[in-house]
Amino acid sequence: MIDATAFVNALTFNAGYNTAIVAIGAVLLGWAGGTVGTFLLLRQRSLVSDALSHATLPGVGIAFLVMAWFGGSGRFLPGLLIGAAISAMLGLASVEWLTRRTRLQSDAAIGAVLSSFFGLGVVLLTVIQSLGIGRQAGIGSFLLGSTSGMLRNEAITLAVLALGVAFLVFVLRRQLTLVCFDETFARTSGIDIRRTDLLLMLLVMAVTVTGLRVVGLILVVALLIIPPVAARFWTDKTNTMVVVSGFVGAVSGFIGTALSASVPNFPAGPVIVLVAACLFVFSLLFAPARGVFYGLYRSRAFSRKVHRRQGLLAILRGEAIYDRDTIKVLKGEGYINADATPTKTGLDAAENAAREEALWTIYLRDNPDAAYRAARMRLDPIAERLTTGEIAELEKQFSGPAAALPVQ
Amino acid sequence: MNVHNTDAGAALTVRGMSVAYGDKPALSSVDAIFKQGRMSAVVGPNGAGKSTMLKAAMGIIPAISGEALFFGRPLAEARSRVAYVPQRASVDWDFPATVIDVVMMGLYRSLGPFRLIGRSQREFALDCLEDVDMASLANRQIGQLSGGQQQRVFIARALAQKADLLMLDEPFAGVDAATEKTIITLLKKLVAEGGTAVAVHHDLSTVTAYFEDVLILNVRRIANGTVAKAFTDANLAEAYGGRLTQATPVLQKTV
Amino acid sequence: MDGLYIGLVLVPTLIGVLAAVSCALLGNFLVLRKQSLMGDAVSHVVLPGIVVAFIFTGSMSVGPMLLGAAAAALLSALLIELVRNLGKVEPGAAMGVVFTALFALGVVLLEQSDTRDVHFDVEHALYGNLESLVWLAGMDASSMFEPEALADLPPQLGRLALALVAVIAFLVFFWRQLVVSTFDPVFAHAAGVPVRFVGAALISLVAVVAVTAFEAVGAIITIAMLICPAAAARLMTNRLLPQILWSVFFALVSAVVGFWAAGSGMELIGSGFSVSAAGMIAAVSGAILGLCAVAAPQRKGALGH
Repeated sequence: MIDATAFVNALTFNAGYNTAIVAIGAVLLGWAGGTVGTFLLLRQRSLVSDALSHATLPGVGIAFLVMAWFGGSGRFLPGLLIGAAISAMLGLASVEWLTRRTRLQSDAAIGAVLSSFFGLGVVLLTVIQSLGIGRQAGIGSFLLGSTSGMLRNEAITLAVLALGVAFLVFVLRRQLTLVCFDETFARTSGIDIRRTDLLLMLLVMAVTVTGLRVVGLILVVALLIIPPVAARFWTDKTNTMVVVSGFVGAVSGFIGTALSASVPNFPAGPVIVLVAACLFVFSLLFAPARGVFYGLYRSRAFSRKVHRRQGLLAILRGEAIYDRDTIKVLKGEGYINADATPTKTGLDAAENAAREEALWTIYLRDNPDAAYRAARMRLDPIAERLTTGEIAELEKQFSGPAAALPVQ
Repeated sequence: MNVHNTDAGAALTVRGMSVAYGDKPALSSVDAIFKQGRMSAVVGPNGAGKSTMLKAAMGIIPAISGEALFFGRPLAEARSRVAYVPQRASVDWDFPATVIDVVMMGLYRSLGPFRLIGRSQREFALDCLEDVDMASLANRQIGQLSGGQQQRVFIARALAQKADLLMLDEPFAGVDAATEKTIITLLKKLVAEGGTAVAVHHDLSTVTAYFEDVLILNVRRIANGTVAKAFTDANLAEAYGGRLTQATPVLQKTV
Repeated sequence: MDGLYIGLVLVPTLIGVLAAVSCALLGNFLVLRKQSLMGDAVSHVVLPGIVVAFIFTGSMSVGPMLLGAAAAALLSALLIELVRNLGKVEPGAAMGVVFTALFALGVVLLEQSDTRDVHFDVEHALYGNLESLVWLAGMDASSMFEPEALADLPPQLGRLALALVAVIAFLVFFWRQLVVSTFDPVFAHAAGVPVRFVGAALISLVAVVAVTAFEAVGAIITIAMLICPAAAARLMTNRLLPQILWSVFFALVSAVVGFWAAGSGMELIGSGFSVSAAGMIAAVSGAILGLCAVAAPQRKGALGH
């Protein structure tokens, strides 16, 4: 299905002038979307962009009708995009107004604006269609985006816009990081939060409007949402997240346009989104910081430690163990026999566990503030967590048989 | 308060309970006993796992190990005997409901999903509201209530459950003095009649006045027993560590 | 009554009303649970479901289509929950990831599969074709009692009526659980209400209604009706039952006025346009919400914003 030569050509910008321009535009757009999207995610406003993108449709329709009225072709891209931007701003203002002035929460406001603006847009589209000029005008391509059949000056317009947006994001990224990372600090260092938020929304609008023609208004939000969520699995640091997210966006734009150019019937917009989605799934599963597999491994390991320690202490106290997981862990480690009686190693390990518990108890008595961290640390062998000096100090405070230890 | 109550059975027994959010422990193998017919407080610094313990005991969040027994039985067999009062801030008070609507939610277990609410249930709900001095506001929209009034509604809902054990998560957080007095008087009355109350509590200065037993918690159990025995400077220092500075003068006054 | 009027106006209007009211009823709980956008997400993933069903069966028959769409809707709800919990991201972002990815998949599959000889495209999926759901056998009022004529009614009418009955039955039978777990899920859980089950049932029903409505009237009405009438009703009253009644009323008005405005209304202002009824209905519901936001008695809420 994939034509390898065509794909490589597209990847190396050798698939024709238009394709190369579009690919460059998509990379810039992907980077800008991923970067702006990170701030949007951190401000917990990701889906505001969905309202914004759907709200562009009536603007496109009205711009088309106005331009056609004045005898223009109606298809003039900058005109359509200006219309889109104006109605997106109206949509955004409506969301803001509904959440500020009424009891409605932002989810309801977003959904309401999204659907009613989109409905109005659809009405206008059908008006254009019944005028009999809709099809050749390619208004439909604003729904799902399309790069095939794009005129040269359209491609150039988009690439220039994408460059402009990317440049703006690059210039403003410090200020945005500051606001997202530490609002109070940003305020005290003289940054106007409301103005920065407005700026952020303007950038979101710029990304949306630029992406409209390529990715389409239904999917353009993906450029703003998927890369940052994918990046979140790799890091907890805002700065790193901004970089990773921008990278994910750019790569999606690049591979997506290349695939679309080399495979027949592979529309650019959805393919870009799918590439981003694949990167997201990969991150979700395999990222080391918060990925599923690593997280599963860690939480299982932790839960094993809890069961091992509790089982061993129960052995030492001569109590019966009922918890099935505890029994499984103890058997697996060879601490108990099939009939649940402790083995020799089990008794030794229990003795040792009690000693460590006691030492930790003494340690915590002296360092109460460490309780939260210690709850995890104390399940590891104490020698791995404290220095020999510290352990010697603890042992000095305590001497005697393990069974007499102040186990809590 | 009553000597003969001290050796009564346990209303809630927590054994070896560990809870973790991912691999971040919130509770580390906590054992605790809350006796029947007593007022018990759960105290500890922020992030000590007080609410977590209540929620894990009620099965609202999963524990990675350990168990909670209510009157010697697992929760499933004793659910009707237990009422849980969540933190006031955990719900959206702009919800379209009146005061009495909320109280009647407490009838869920006794009514089941399908039986209709009759006159007698309504009167009972009003009685519960009367107990917290809120009957006059029965038809008020809940969003119009003050913080203290909201807390009273929650208590009335728990009363409507006719439970033997009340589990309260920060019942006095952000309420006015009058409400605090109403609630504590009511709880003491319930306990005197043989009921049991377990409350997550953050104000160390009132522990001695309000409660008979205490569990001091800081991820692990620090102490559990009567206030006289367990609520000591040493135990509190162990739980609060450096954060005790604001609590210390209070302690000197009460202990 | 004029037969043309019944067949060309009343029947499609009724279909619109049924879809609108079913959505609005469920929408009340979505809005109160701050899950309004679940409706949005579910409606988007109907497309990939239908495309996959088409690829498997090779036909555009209704049964597999509905089944595929319902499966996709449920799958998306599950995925959203998964992404939310695993990624610890806010629900909005999780929804955004899932529905855009699945929708993109649907579009690509549609482009790749050979659907050229069947009438199906994304536009149709988005705004349906309510105007075409006419009843040509309905020649006059008496045809309402003729079995042959009734058999010619658009099948969507029956399916949507069934969906509405299912919604009403759900609300009646699960009312108490639904209200308690919406207002105070923590308490509900402690009191033994099957909170998760009720939540899953609500979303499943939203999916079923979205799918049924989608086939008749397109995704856009579904999204609008799941949110706008309930949101507007929320601004009218502080009681749940009146809120639900208001939302039904608003849905009804949106459907009737929207359909009228798209057809007769256009003729009335002397324009020859035929515009999308689905789009018009959505726009009218938005206008109603706008009016309520300006003038409804409880627009500020009891907490006084």
